[in-house]
Amino acid sequence: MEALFLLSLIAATSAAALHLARRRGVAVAPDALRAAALHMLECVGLTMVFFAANLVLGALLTLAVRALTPLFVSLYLSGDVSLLVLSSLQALVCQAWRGTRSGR
Amino acid sequence: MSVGRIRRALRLMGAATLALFAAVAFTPLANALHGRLAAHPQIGRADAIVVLGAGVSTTGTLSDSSLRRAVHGIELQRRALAPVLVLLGPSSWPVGEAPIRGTLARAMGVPQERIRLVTGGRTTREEAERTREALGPDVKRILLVTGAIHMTRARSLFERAGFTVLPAPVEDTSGGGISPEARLALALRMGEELLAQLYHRLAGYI
Repeated sequence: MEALFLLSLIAATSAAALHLARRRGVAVAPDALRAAALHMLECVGLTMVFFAANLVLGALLTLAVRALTPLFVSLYLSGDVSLLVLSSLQALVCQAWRGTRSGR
Repeated sequence: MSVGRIRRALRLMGAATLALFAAVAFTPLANALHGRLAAHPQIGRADAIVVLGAGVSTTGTLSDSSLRRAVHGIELQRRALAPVLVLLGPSSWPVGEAPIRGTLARAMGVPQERIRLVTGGRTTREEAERTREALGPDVKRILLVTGAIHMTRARSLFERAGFTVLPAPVEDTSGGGISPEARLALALRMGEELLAQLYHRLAGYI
């Protein structure tokens, strides 16, 4: 039931966004939607790459601090959920920057 | 590797991630996995009940997990399954987790002489070593209280420290949640624990 409710919200706001875009005269061709979906998948994939890199680096730094200093850092710190959000921002910036460069 | 191949690989990774997200959030997959990973209890008489730490806030409030474990340990002690209740927790400012749990145990009727506080262990491995140091070689059989998912790794570490372990797991990560948020949190916790187990195996700790 919860899943159905949440997915219905997404469907409703997506449909509303599409309707608003058309009313404002923004061309939304089916081909463009497919390209956008593929672009979204690239973004998600890039997020996972950044997330994995951040996780691994975090773990290595933690172990290095423990081995080389008297300080203790928990390995769980590298698994904070905010890292996923920040990784997605990294991916978005990377994709936007690529898009800007190819638009020159 | 060409740019085209990289983009294709990223799209595949993205599709796999979304599929995994959907499977975890919107199906009982996480609950089923939890059922397989969670340890089952083996309650019996022991030389000591050992309750692992799980965190305390800077205002001195036990975390949800810490409180559940402490209460379960106290409940086992009140059933007279062991002569001593060992409460663990790292030293932290201003008050450590173990003393707070000790206060809770006394408030719930456990006599002071049956409570033993072990502080300073910052990881499960350190907790196992410090417990062995504190209890000495005569204590062999323990009822180990920790989260159900954490129990597998904790049991291996305490057995390495020379104890015979009777698992007394606590459901501190609910395996019964059915909302997408609950299932995602459960999957995250299981993922953390599986990574921790991998690290411990690679490091030769278990």
